[in-house]
Amino acid sequence: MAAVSIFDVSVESLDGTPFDLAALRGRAVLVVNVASACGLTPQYEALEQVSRKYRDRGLTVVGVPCNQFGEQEPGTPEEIATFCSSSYDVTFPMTEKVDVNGPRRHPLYLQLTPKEDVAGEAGDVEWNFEKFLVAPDGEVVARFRPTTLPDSDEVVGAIEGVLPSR
Amino acid sequence: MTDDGWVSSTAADVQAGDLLRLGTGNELTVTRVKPSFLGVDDLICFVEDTDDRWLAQAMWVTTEVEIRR
Repeated sequence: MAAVSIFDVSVESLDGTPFDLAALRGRAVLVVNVASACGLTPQYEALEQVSRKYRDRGLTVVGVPCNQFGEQEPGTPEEIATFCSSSYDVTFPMTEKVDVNGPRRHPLYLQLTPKEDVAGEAGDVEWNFEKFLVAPDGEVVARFRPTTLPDSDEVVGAIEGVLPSR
Repeated sequence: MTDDGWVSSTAADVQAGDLLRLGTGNELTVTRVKPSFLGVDDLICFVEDTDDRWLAQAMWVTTEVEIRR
């Protein structure tokens, strides 16, 4: 059966175990393709802050390692995990390393990339640290390009607009 | 030009269709050029978007590269 939202997609966690996206149904999800050796890598700090601030209110940040941009995520899963925890104390979940563009685009990104950004452009992910906000019902509601910071008013405002009601 | 057709140049001179050799020795077949990348005037991005793979490389326009066309 074709996936109808990200909650129907199969993906592995960084440690190789199944990542249960279906378990996130009913939560808001911020999906971010990440890399360890990019000029934007310090965004991990704000991503972690956003994750800690909103996780109890129904947001899950999901990091998706990708090596398609400047080959800036070349490491093994163990190396990526160690970097994230030791450099940025990352606690939000991470998927396996995937392609987000091109002929081997992961099904997760087949669901995300049709979403237009604020300029009306959809399609390929531009670079590391592009952010997609998914509502609790699975609708992709916003797309933020890499230079839009995770704790910017735009991103935070959009997150607060889709948090599940308590 | 070297015997094998590589020419030293800067990133600003790279065009779609060029084969680009990076400092790592890896090669990129440029199918798209994106100037003023990420809103930075002097940053340029080259994309290989083929049936085989998708890969992007960003660099300053003054970066020395080797190209073959």
